[in-house]
Amino acid sequence: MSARRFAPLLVLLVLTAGAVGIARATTGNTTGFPPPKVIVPAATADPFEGRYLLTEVGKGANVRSGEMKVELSDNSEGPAFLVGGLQLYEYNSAGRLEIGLFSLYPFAEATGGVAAPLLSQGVGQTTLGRIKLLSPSNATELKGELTLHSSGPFPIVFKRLSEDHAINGSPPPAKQLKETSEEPEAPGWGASAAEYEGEYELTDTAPDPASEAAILAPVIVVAQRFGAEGVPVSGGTMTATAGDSPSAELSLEAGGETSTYYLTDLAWRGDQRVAQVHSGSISGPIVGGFEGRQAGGSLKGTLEAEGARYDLAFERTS
Amino acid sequence: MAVEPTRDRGGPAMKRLALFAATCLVLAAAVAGCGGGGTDSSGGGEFEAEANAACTKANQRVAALPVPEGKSQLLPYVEDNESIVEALGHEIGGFGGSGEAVEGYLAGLEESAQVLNEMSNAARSENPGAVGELANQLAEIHLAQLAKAAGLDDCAKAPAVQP
Repeated sequence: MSARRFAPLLVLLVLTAGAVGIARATTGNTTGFPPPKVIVPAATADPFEGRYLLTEVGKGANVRSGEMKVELSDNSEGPAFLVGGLQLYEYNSAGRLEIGLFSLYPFAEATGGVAAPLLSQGVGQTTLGRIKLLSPSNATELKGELTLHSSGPFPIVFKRLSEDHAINGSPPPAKQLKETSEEPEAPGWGASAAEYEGEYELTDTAPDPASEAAILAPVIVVAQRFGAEGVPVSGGTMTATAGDSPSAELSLEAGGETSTYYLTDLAWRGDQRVAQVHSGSISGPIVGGFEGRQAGGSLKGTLEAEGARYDLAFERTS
Repeated sequence: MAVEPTRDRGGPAMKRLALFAATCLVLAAAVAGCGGGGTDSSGGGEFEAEANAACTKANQRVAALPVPEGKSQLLPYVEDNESIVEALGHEIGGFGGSGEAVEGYLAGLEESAQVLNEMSNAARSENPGAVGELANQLAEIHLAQLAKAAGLDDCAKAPAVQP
């Protein structure tokens, strides 16, 4: 048989081998690494072994959710060494989710725990970040820091999972931790009324996904309320008023309905803008909050109200 | 004075009548063909009426479902939607419609039921994030467009859910 006739079989074998590799790598490759030059002593390393679910992450990391596995790899030439895999669901610059698979190798002792570079998987193993894990203080939680794509470090918290705990390939969203513990306190959304008083219009509107869904429209709207990406907003306006009690009235079109929310307790620090969200009227029940950042006439932020999350981008028009 | 035979005067009139009759037959055949034999056919007015009525009833059932206020109510809501959409697909499939557009709409209903099943599984695993992401897949089916293409205007309408 000629080499030309062998070629399709060879391609098929290569593809099959690749497919098996992808299917098995749910949290990244944790095998195949040689023993590192310096091995973390067993007394320090052993408590880290296990499967973990990301439960909290610093907001600036742009990570939605993730899983991690840390193992003690067999070493015929010496003591076992730590190696890990990390799978992160990251928001890219366009705001879309991408899956990042990283190998954690080599682990080394660090202040209060261990640390390892985040290596990309594939032909060239590029270092894309670093993870530091603090020695666990209890059996269920693991805290640490994540540096990713030259940003950070961001705080991270993992929950330990049992080996048979199924995540079904889609870990739940981690709680987004604020980047700073300093809350905005100054009243209003700027040092003077002129900085924020006026009319705003939404600029990142998207077609209502339920508008062409017929019988499926209600379940789509309900499901998106609970989703990590938030409810797509097809239009909206906001009127901000200064004075003794700065407030804003916000009208949002989403899921084929128009909702009106009232923002009170407007406060700012630097470019941060926060408010409480009421339904019904300005003195109605508090149903959520708003957090955003203002740059000139544009205000971007997240409004959480009545169990739904809306990512909003406003442009001041007057 | 010669008298022309009457049949000679009546000949052109008969020809015109025959031509008119033939034209009518051709047109009638064409109209009948439009209703029954093409690839875009739907099976006629009876199928459309039955399918539209089934969609109206299914929409009323969806509109009557209590809207979840918390994550714990998400699973029964998605499951109920799944069973309504699945039953609608079976019901309309039994009405005997035909043609690419009808088949496209039925395929859309079947795909919707499959995605709703995945959403139910995600809700059962207490993974509302995945439920939300699957909702985007549901929207991409564009079921209303498929219904309109099949001539099923009532099936293109969304249920009137009370806020």
